[in-house]
Amino acid sequence: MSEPVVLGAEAVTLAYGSTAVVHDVTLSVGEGGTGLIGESGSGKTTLARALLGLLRPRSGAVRYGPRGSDTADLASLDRKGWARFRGDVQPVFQDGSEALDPRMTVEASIGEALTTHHRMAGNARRERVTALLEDVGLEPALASRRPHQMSGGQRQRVAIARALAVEPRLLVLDEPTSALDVTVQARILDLLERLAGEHGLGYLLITHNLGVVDRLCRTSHVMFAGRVVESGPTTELLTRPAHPYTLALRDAVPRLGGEPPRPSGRTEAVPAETGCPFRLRCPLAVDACREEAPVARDLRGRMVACHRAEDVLAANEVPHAPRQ
Amino acid sequence: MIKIRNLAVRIGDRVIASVPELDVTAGECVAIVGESGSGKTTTLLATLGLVEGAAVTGEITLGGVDVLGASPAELMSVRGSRAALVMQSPQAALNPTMRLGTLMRRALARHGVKGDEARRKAEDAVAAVLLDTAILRRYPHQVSGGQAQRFAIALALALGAEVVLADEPTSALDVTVQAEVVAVLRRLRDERGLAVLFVSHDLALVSTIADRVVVMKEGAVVESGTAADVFDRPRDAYTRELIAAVPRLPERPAETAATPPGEAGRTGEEET
Amino acid sequence: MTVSASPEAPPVLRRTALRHLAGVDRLAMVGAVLLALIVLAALLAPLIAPYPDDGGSATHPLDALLPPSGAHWFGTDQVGRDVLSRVLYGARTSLLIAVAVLVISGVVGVVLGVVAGYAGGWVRDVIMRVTDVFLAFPALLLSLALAVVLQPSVTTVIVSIAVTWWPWYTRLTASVAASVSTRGFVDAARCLGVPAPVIAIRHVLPNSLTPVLVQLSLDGGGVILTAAALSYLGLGAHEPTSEWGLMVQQGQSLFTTDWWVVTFPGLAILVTAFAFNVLGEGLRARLAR
Repeated sequence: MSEPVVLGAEAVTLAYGSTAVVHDVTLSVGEGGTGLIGESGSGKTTLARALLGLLRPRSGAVRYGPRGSDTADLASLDRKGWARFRGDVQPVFQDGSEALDPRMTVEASIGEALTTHHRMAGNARRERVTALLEDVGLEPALASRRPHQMSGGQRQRVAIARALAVEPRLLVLDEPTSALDVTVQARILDLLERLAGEHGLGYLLITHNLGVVDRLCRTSHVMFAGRVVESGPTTELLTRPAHPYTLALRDAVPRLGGEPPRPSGRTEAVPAETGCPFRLRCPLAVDACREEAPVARDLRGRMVACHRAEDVLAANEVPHAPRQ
Repeated sequence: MIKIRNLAVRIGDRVIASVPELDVTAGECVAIVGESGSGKTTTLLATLGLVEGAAVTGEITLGGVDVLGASPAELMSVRGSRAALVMQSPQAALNPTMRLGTLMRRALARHGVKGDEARRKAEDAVAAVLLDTAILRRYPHQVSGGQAQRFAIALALALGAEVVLADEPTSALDVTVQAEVVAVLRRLRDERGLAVLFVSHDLALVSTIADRVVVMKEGAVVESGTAADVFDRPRDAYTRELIAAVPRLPERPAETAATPPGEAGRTGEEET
Repeated sequence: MTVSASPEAPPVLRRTALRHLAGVDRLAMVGAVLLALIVLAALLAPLIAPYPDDGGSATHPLDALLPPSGAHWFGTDQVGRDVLSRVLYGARTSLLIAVAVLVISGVVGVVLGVVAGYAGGWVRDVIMRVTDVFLAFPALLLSLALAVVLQPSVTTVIVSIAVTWWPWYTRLTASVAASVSTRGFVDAARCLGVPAPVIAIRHVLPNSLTPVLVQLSLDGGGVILTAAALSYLGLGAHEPTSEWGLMVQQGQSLFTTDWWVVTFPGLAILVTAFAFNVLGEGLRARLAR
């Protein structure tokens, strides 16, 4: 329906005050789903804020533009450029109760998007709100409700409807389901999957839930301590992790009826200041990890920043009995 | 350790939790699974005698004490020693101006344990939850969520808790930290015969620790049984829906090795 | 151990909390009713005052300093005016001052506070430094200095109090607005491309208002006390205006002999300040949940 756009981080470093929380991250989001995986404190949400133009990089650039042509640095955009960017890239945040103004009705919240981007008012606006609510599987009667009069799942659907109201090409989804019950979560994921197909949306999905990433994202990036430590096809990362942190994440996920999750230990260790940031938690750390920070390199179809990636991969090649 | 018969919690005419039968014996973990509003937390609070503003009827025995018939003092004493509550965010319950060691020493002193014996008990309990004893010298804000959660369990152990009631103890934690907390609870159950009542909405997590499972929906029990029965042969449609909603990871490489990367495991998963 | 507020606990626990709050709410109701009565008395003063002319410049030297009686419930003052009538008319002056001060300093304070809180950066720094300058002086001293420079009048009282009070509302609003500005719905509006001034007015302002409103209602009593103090010192309302502080000043030397002249306006100040305070406290407790 519309030409695809690309949004990317180019050697982006982000800081609050003098503390850098994201270091030299490069990634890009285009068609389909891209996952950004990490735990609290990994810098994934801060990176998302930068990609949404809410936070200016300390160094590096956030670039955006139509696919296949030159992308522009957000910092260099003029008024018109910003308006186009705001119309193309929309967020859905973790918690619908936070993301919706508690004093506004659903109609006012979604209507704000319509007025800002399409100068819609009156009946036309009301009809569009109704259509959007139906699109995300909500009763049009909810239009007069306020956030506290709805369930978590309903609020998240309203937040999605508001994002769709501007007819974006890319969604930045920051933990869109982690505040929800599992069955509600599953339905919201169904919705996102359907909408992405129908509207030809690209999306960046930020989450700590590997199961969600696997379902929606072809490509994924794993972040630890503000750095991307491994990126590549999602299924590859989850079935054959090459970074010990990706491995620890995957093995910690509880599986229905499976073996108990394997604790990786030393989760309280803070990221190392020198050498590899993961080394204090890493069961495979050697002298080289203390002396030299690993640089991301291409290994069997993915990028990985680990001195011992070959060993991690080799250990994973041993076929495990399939889990029930 | 816990025995519940015909429990009903009512606000006005509305029953917000109704549990006909639930037992947790020593060395056993029973999980209550459900979504928000299912009544799972209310059931847990009722077991501890902490429900106020609602009518509680039925029979609840906690560590040998008849919860509904007990005096407030008796309830306080059973909650302080034999039964312990572990909450979602334990840091909020720890006095921020006290080192964790001081906190534990004072709690032990209230139970008449002092001096060397108190120190030994404290160190034992901390070791049992796989924490370094150095943590006793820290203040609550200096420890991570996972450490605070494990310390809360250690505190319960030091005071001689035989049953732990855990309310979504890991849902605020990262998955790697969650794995540690669950491993600690499993170990204590197996090695010390701790009884655990585990309340959670996360079915996959519950399946890794619970011996028996109670599924609740809108205040009522829809299914209960051994973990194997409930997860492998769910009888209730709602239980099946919960199971279907759990996001799944792709299987290990063995059987997908021949498929081109990127397609592997993906198509098969979407149908489940 | 304490009970954390888990998502499904509220139906049970909140009712308990409500019960604890009932006492506070009752007190707030007392404040609201008292204040309503005072406002009503002020509005209806010309109708309900037994001697409407005594609210102004009328004098009845022959009736001077009569003790409370059926004809003069609160007695009469040095020039024979009915104290009850003057207390009722005094309510008009005091409430006018209170409302004017709260509106002026509240509006200035909230506007600057929202600007400072939402814009942040150097804008916030500049506004905060200006408030620091004002807050460096003791409020009453600054009001006094201003009132000395200006002509003594009700307007002088309003201006000199408002000048010293707005910085408090600016600081309060700025801190609330700064935290509101970090919330998801403000980020969402920014991502929609809603212009900054619109975000400030539409999203930040309404969500930052509650604590200031509570503070304003708490401060109503303070304004009345300060206004009374200024009038008492001869810097505010002057004869023949009925004003409680002025009445206290005029009556104080008679306290041992003709106690009613000073006591009833003094009680009026006390009761009004009390009403504002309990109402404010009640609102605060209610909104703190």
